[in-house]
Amino acid sequence: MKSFRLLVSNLNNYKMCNSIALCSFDCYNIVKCCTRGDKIDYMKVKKYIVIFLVISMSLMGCTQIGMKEYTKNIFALNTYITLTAYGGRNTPKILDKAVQRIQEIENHMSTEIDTSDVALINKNAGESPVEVHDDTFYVIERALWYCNMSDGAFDITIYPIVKLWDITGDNPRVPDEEEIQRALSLVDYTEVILDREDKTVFLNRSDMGIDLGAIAKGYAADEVVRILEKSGIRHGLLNLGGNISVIGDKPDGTPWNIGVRDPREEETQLQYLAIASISNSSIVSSGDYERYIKDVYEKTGIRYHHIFDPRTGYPADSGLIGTTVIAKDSIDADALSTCLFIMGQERGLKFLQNVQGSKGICIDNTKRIYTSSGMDNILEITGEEYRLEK
Amino acid sequence: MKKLKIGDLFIYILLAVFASIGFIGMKSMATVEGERNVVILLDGEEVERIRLTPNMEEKELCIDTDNGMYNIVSIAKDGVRVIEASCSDKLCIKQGRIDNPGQSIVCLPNKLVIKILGDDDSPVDDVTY
Repeated sequence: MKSFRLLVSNLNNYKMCNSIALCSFDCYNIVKCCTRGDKIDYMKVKKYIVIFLVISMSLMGCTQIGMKEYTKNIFALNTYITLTAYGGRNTPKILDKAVQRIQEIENHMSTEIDTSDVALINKNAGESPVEVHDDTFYVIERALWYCNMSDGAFDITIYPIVKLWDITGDNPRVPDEEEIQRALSLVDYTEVILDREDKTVFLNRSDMGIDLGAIAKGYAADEVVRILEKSGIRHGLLNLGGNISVIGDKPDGTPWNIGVRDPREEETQLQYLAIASISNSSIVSSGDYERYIKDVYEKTGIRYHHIFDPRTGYPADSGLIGTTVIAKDSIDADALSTCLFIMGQERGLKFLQNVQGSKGICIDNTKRIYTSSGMDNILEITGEEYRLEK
Repeated sequence: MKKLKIGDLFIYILLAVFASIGFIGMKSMATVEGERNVVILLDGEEVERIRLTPNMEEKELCIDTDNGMYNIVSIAKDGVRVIEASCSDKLCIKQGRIDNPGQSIVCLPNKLVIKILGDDDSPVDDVTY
């Protein structure tokens, strides 16, 4: 089956050449037969020619002809999202459906929309359980699984700390120790109480809060993939603020090549240090470079970035400057890249091996790159200053 | 035993000729050499598209959003940059100039995207960050 698929994709690539080669081959034979006057059953020859023509025509028909690239750009989930799909004329409608789904997810899970499930859970902390939509419940359940598995390195109840530092907001600042300790006492994922029957979520103490920022984008990407695939899209590339999911291969049958951003090239997001070749999966990165307090960095050289360590209340300081995780589902890649970043190289990469089907790389502050198993064949290091450690 | 008719032969040759013409035509039409276009999107909708040419004069465009916000974009032969903006973080200005196909400037608060389209010889399809 695999070799057949390979054959088809090869034929696709050379569809035009094929049909021409077949045609000229036929003509050559016919002419040769005519001129030499060999005894040939022309009915048979004709039959072959017809078969050749039908095959080459159908090869031409079943490929890119009639398949176009469609792109949709939106701002949602606090970031810029680009959805690219290859398909027929109904593709824009399919993409619109995907956009609606993203907006629905944002309306359920944003901390900034007052009526969202998450905002209501936070508002009713310590008071009453809140009934939530199925998708919110699913994401929280999955997030809590990661909280548990990572032994609290990943913690969705980090919200009081996030709010205190406000790194991604309008007034980021470095809080004093006392404030941090007070907020930190509210961070404990074991105090998120789920009721599977009633689909309710309850935070045990008032002033507690949850933030699904490290996982909701991943879930949204999976939902878009599901919608596009269900509508028959077989090639696509989604970019949700740097979280990338790919559907199938590229239209030419080769894997998608995704650059891993160089964490120390501030100028442009297009500078990459490695290229990963992937199909049908998601690749997500976390790092200290995307959002941090620039003024403080310029004065002191300390990078207060947006990924917090739930054990300290400060931005994670594990010696890593960037992590990238590949997994089948984006929800896993999203959560795992954060886990890896907080846990650090040794513990994080070991943790990654426990989650089936996931693999990743981390980059430390001396520009060394460490990889988990399964990366060798799909990763190419291109950054000259970076060294791959074995 | 039947003989191949001359008409059949003619049709086959004709098919071969058409196929070759189509193939050559497709190859030559596929790319326009070195052309770069600046595309400006506001909340996902295209509002401007300008071709970058080697001898164009610098152009300044003011892109206004519905809620009274704006970005002033400078477009010149050596690239595109945002020179003034009403957004809170000014990240679009700090990013500086872009000039290669595939690059983009995004202003999240104003929902503005500027990207350069063109012959993309980049070995990657996208970048994760």
